[in-house]
Amino acid sequence: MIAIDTVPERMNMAKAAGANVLDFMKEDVYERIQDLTSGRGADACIDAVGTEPHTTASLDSVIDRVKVATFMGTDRPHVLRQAIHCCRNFGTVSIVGVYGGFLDKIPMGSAINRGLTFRMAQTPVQHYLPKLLKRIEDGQIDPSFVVTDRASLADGPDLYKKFRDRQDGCIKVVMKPEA
Amino acid sequence: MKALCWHGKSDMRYETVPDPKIQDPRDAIIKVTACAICGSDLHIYNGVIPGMEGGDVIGHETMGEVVEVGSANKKLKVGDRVVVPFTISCGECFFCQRGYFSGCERSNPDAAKAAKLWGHSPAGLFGYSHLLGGYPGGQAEYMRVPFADIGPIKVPEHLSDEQVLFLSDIFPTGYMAAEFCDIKDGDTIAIWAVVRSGSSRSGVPSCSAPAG
Repeated sequence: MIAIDTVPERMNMAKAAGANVLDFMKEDVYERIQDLTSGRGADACIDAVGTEPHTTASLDSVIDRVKVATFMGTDRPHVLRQAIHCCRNFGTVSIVGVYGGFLDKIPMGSAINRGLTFRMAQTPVQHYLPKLLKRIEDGQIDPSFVVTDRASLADGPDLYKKFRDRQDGCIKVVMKPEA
Repeated sequence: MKALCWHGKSDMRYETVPDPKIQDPRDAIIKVTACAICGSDLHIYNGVIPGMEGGDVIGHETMGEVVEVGSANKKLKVGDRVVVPFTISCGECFFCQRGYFSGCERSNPDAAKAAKLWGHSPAGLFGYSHLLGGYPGGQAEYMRVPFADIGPIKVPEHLSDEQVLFLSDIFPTGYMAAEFCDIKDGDTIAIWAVVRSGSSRSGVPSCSAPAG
């Protein structure tokens, strides 16, 4: 697993889980993935970012930002472009990050000529619930490990800001109405 | 009741809003015991999601205790402890019958608007704009759950809220993202934006987050 991020706390969690960690602000994502896959590309690439990537990480993401700000575009698909380029021939691009509208300059030439498969959805949650609840009950996984911030609902407005700005290692916020 | 309401870019407010009421015999009302902020809520917070209106209650990772049940709902009873999926699904239409619950044809009252933008409408979602139903979300003291005989899953008492809350979105979303990859031994999987969800152990990320 190759985990691409720049938030230190999230990268540490991925590292602890055994992933190769890649900081896109410090390293060339494409080159590192090439190195790690003998130049072939990743078997599958997961875009869990969606429409709001970090805006200064690359030239194309800066251009996207300008286009959205001037109403010339609806989304900023930098990660999707990169995922396509980093995927091996006949590999899969899995998209769970949310996009809203019409995406510009998606390298379809790369995707079609190299036989990529695109899979994406808003999750049909009900389909997965019974088996995933059983995994939690059987102790195979405890998803609560991601929680970094616990607070009352009244603190919500501050927590939105803290979460968005990644302050103090904020990764996941859980609120209780009566806390 | 109190709820978190969106009023524009970077403007969330903790406000008093009307208590939810049963509107359909299949509905249930839950008293929220825990709710989370999703990475995709930050898209709303940052003002990039179309179809939002000032005062909308947001939030779609929610669980709680059933406090009221509609007359036609035979699955839930008052006192049940449930996690509520972020997708609203009727359970009976073409897509629900095939397991594509997030493609439900009947849960989005804004379907005509959504179809204009996207060709066809997906399911309605909690707290995610007036393109997707305008349903008040779960960052609130109480939430109305439509089609509550289909969506909510009862959870055992011995598991804590934090252990089961993420069944609402990010755990199944991360799981699905990995399932899409059809992973075989020795495969290399690259993931942009990690550890949103319950699964570094099974190698899965989730939901959307500004990064990359």
